[in-house]
Amino acid sequence: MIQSDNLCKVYTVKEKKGFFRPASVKKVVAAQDLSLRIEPGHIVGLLGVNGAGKTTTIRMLAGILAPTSGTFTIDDIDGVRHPKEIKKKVNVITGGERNIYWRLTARENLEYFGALYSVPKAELKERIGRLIDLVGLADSADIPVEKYSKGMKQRLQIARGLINDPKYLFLDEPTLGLDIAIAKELRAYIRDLAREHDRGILLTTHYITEVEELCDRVYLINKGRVIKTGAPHELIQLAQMGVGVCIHVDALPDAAAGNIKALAARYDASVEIGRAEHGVSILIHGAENLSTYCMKSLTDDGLLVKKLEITEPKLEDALMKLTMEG
Amino acid sequence: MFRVLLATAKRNFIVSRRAYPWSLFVGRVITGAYTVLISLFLYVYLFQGQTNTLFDTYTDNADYLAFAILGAAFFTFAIASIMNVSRTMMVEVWEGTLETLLLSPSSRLGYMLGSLLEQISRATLELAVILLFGWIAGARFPYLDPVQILSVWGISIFALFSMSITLAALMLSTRDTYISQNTLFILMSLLCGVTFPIQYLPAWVQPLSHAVPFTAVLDLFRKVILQGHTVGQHPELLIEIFALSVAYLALGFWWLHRSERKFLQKIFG
Repeated sequence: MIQSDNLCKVYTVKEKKGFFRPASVKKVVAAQDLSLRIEPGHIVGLLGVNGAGKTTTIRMLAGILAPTSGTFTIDDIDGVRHPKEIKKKVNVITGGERNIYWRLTARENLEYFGALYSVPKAELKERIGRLIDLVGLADSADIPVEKYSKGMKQRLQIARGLINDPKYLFLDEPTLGLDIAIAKELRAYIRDLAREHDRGILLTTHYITEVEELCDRVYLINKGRVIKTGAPHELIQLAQMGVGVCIHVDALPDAAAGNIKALAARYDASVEIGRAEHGVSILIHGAENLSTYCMKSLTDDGLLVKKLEITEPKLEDALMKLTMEG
Repeated sequence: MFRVLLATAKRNFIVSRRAYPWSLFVGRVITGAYTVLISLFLYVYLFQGQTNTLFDTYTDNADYLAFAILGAAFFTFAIASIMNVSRTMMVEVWEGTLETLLLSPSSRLGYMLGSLLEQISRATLELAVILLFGWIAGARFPYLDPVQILSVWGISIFALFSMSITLAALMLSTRDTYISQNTLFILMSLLCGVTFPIQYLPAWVQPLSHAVPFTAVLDLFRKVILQGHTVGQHPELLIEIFALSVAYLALGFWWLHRSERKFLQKIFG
């Protein structure tokens, strides 16, 4: 299990003001008191706006950047004291085209990275074949990467990140720029890695559907600090987003409108009645789904419902709301 | 470490072959060949084939053309080795691969030695070609004892590697390659006795020459080829080379480690 306690990272940034003037020194807090937990077999989301500290957190947990203070362990190995040991257990997949050698072919890249991780040669050969198939590069495995498209380079990045069969995998925007089919396949593979192969995964992404589809737990961070944590549905509840119900009827007599308003008041919901293209629209927004009660009230008043729309709360909106509040 | 060494050497070999199929090799050989020609013209047209008694005293009556050509060829070998090994981390920065490299638990020493191995194999070929040019130009190398030459070659690799590590640290800490490497190479060409014996330098400058291990390596190389000495006959040079190289290595790795940490703060911060 990965466990971090009060992890902090402060960058010292020097800003030059001129050739002969001394540079001013500024402290930038990228991560503050981060306490995270990633268990094997679980997919954990690390979400936040740009500059929230997601990538810095990943770099610290991967042993590339030393934290300013705080500790973290990976399977009880102290990551601050023994970065080399923890590097054997983790890998990072980032979106984009960098982090691979463009003059080498995909196979040569994977052979090189396999050697850096001391993967036994026979095992490496079999693994390279499997990963190349997984990311759909079998036909271009022996072509230099510089001739690849952006998506192909990114797919190779994914294979590179899996070359040491890491026990913990950090995915930093892994599907950015990938075509739909490959992104879907990758999501299925990530899920399989966690569920079937007991790997612990930390995912940062701006695609909320990915979070909803994959994550067991989410850490929402802002300005380097965890502001909320929980399962995706718990965060939605936490944000008190509510459910919207929109009903269209031909006409709404005063008595029926009064019944709807009374219903909304009973459940502490808001109601808006307005003109629609061919009739009247009723919009009720409450903590729970009031569609059944509204339908009953309208049919009891002898009205025919022409259209019913239910707007479920979205994780994206919940996260946005929580970030603004946090 | 050994696997990382071989993998890095193989990777660099493939990258160099695809990036510069012939141009890099030809470019370096041409530079060496020009140096041979300059030495030849100086000796034939300026010195009229004569050297003064001071030169004879300083070099134990060595032939100037052979002296200069050995210096130029070995200098080309040195700068090729030092330059590429010291720049290797900066190249990772330019290529955007530094983060993946640092992410792996691989040995940094193995990585650096891998860069050295690939570079030395090419630089040795270049050295041989330049010496051949020199021989065609009329320089004579009277003592070609393979055991002694190989010994100096091995010792020189150790010395050049130590210089490369220190230069790599300097490059990472300044985030510059061109000014750092070119300043060092110009100083080496002036201070290390490449085209003239260091005894011609002012007395106060000569200690600086002995602060660079390449000076003693080049001296030993010339003594073996021009005077037929064995490596064992010059313990004073061996001590100088090893002491300086160990000091450069210790300083280089200590500095490299610090520079790397600071560098990461700068690029990620």
